Amino acid sequence: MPGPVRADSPELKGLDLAGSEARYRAIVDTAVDAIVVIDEIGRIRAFNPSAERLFERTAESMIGLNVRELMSEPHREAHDGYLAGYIATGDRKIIGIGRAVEGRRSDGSTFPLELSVAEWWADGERFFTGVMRDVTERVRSEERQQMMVNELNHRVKNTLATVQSIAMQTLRNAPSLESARVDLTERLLALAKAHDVLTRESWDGADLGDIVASAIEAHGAVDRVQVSGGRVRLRPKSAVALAMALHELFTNATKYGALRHETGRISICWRGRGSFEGDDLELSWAEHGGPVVEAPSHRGFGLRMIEGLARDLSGDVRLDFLPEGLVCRIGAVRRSGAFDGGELGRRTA
Amino acid sequence: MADEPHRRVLVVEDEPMVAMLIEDMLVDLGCIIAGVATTVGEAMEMASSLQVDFALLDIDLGEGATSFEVAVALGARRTPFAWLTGFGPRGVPPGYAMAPVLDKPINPTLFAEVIRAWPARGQAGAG
Repeated sequence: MPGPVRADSPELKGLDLAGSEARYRAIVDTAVDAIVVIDEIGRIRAFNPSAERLFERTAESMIGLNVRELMSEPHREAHDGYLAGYIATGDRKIIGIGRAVEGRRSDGSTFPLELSVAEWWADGERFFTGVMRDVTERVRSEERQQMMVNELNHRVKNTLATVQSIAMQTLRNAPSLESARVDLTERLLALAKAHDVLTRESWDGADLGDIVASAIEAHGAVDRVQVSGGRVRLRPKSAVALAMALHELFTNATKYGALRHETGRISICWRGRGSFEGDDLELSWAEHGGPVVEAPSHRGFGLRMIEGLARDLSGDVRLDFLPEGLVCRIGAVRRSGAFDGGELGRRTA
Repeated sequence: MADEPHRRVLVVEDEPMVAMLIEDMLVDLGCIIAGVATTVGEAMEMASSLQVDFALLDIDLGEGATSFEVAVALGARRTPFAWLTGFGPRGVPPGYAMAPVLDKPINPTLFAEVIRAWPARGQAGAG
């Protein structure tokens, strides 16, 4: 392999040339960046160890080959032309500038690399040194960042549409502006709480139990609610829908149901698998010990929210306004009333 | 609006609260909700089994699922549709951009214009 540097620069004059060549050679051989030297017709004249690692090719196999071997199309086909064009016109496209290009390994696979090219002369012969660095990680992280920005924008706009929905429905059904103000604020706070739970897990999803616990705490009902159910994972949108449905149930219980009197209690239980594992979830809310409840005269936001949650979980919803309190069952009705006589039946009996 | 036949609209939207908003806006415009689908499977089923004059398609249906397949099925049945997406017009690939694109949150004026642009079947479209 010919030495990569045969510089005849003034400061080398008079020095021990053999010793300085060994030193320069060491610099090139130990460089972290890949260094490839070519001549005027594109033949590879030097190929350092970092280049061997980067392109997964040996210097021995590369010396003497055309450098286009390291390139992918369209540059692979055009490189001889680039060189000839530069030598004829002196018009610099990359020399002294550097740019991002694609490298090609011996197996044909490609990867992004950053290339800078310098030109030099020795003994009347012109050479070009290419210094290269693999930028796969950087490109990947830039792509990831762009994806996250897009995803964030999408999420923000969907959330704004959700807020639009809550605001429109609240204003539409409000008996007064004052009650609209209170309801809207409380609903937005409930939405924010659901987002808090999701943010803790980077929006991958949420545990059903965490969403339930957050709603119980927000309504100051820790001593009044009995919870039972295993670990169930929910998709982000199911988690938000559940949080909003629970908020409506709690608000309703506080105003008219079990939480209106000291004696009232609520059981929340669930079983089955979460929305990640195939929508096979049964969820029940049962109030007892509260005042006698009556079915509402119109389908307000709360009921629609519960129906929306059921649809999201690919289930049905059943509301029973029993003398002992409201019972809301989600997901079970379609599957032959799996709750009948089950856990829920015993609790409310 | 009373003398106009009701348009039957299929809504494909996976976020329950956004679906409620769309339903309300459609009902306000005198439409009938033919169905609300939250997944590609449901949407394909409803597109083929229900009488639909028009469809509103959310693009991103969660976990990487998209409603492009639904658009193709609707196109084959000559059912007009519009996109409804938080990605905005740039989120619709060129091949699907012939349908109108509504952004989220929803501008009610633009929404009404898009819905009113298509007559119910049995009105002008018949024969």
